[in-house]
Amino acid sequence: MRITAHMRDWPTTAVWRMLIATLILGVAACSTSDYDAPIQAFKSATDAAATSTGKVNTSLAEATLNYAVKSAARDPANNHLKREAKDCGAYNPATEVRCRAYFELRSADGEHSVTLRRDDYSDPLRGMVGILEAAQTYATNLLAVEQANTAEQVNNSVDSIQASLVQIVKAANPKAEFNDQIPQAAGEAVKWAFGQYIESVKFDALRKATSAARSPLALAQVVFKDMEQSAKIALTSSAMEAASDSIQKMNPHNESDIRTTLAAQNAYDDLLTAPLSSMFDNLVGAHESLAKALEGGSHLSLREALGKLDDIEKQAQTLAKIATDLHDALKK
Amino acid sequence: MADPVSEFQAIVDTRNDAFKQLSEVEAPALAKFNDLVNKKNTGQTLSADEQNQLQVARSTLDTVHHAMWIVGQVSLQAMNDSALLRDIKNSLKAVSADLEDTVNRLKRIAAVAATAASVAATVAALAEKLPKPV
Repeated sequence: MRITAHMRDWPTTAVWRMLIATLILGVAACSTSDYDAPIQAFKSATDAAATSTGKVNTSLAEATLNYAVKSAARDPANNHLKREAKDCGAYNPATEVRCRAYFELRSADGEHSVTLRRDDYSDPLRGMVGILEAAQTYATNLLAVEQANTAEQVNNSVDSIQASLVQIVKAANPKAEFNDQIPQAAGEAVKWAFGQYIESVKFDALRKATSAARSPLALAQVVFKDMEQSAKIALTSSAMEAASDSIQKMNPHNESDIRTTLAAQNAYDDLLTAPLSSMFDNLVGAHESLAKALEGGSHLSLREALGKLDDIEKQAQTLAKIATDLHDALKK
Repeated sequence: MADPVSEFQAIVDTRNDAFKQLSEVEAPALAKFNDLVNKKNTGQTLSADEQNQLQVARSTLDTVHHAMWIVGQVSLQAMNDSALLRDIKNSLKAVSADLEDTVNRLKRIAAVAATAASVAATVAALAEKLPKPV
């Protein structure tokens, strides 16, 4: 047999094993699986951040509507509910008919005014939520690339090809002497070559993606801080009023009154200091460490990334609790 | 037309300017309000004039806070509609699309190997049917 004769000239099995072991170790040293933990943690943290921000969005929506309704009832001359000029006619199959009501709020000096449409009191943080949803998709795809089991699938195919090759040789000459270890060694080499290529495709994609996402995430970090500041005034308005009311009306000789007043001041303070954007700071920080690690293969950066991601889960829980507390307070 | 970052910064600056002006009105009213409620809460009785001052301070605060709420709301709406937010979202979507392309590329690599395996299996099956050497 020409094939077996040719293969007999190959290095001995022991040498093959050493060579293969060296090559496999070479692949393992730069494996994308090293990044599995921080990428998975980044994905979980992004999900937690998106969920808790979604809850804050709902609470802020309630707070905004609550404020608008109260303001309208208090001072209809300056704050009122209005209809769009040509809206609310009868349904008409020939043309679109809508019935859109909106609030118009004005300051007493007439210098400041705002129109609150449905989106403004039902989805007030839509910009932040949209960015977090995009970040969630990005994290999902990052994980999909890292966890793609292409090498495993290719290895299975190579095993199958090897089995077929043995079958072909034996079918051609059932009496042929056949050393099974030789095609196995050749198969390992093919698997290694494919593995290297697949790793390079994955690694390159992860590095390029994290590098490209750095800039938009850094901008989002700044944007979130500014949006938090704008949202806080609406988020805190009812708590601020409750704090002022309680301290103004407090009976200084009544224990229960003192406790209620203290709780109202603390509730307002909790909202003022709620970590809306600091959670995103950690998310961006962790992503930066991940990008650095992919750039330079730094395990220190990976540890930094994991440390920051741990904090996000806690911040997300705090934020979700604040949103629930605010929701409950508005119901009272 | 301003670039998206400058446009966003202009929203922030305008908001901060308005808040600065409003907090100048807020500060004396808040100081008066806190002073009088603290006096009341030490058990002292407020005079009629002080009662009146407390009401005026509270009313001023409500008015200023209403204006602040409006400014916050206007800036939040402007930020939500800003080109910067749209650009950030689109950039992240583009990175995600590149990653999706990589996943598809990896799937194609696996598919090529699977096809090769399938061809080898077919050839092996055919080889079994060939006449064997005597």
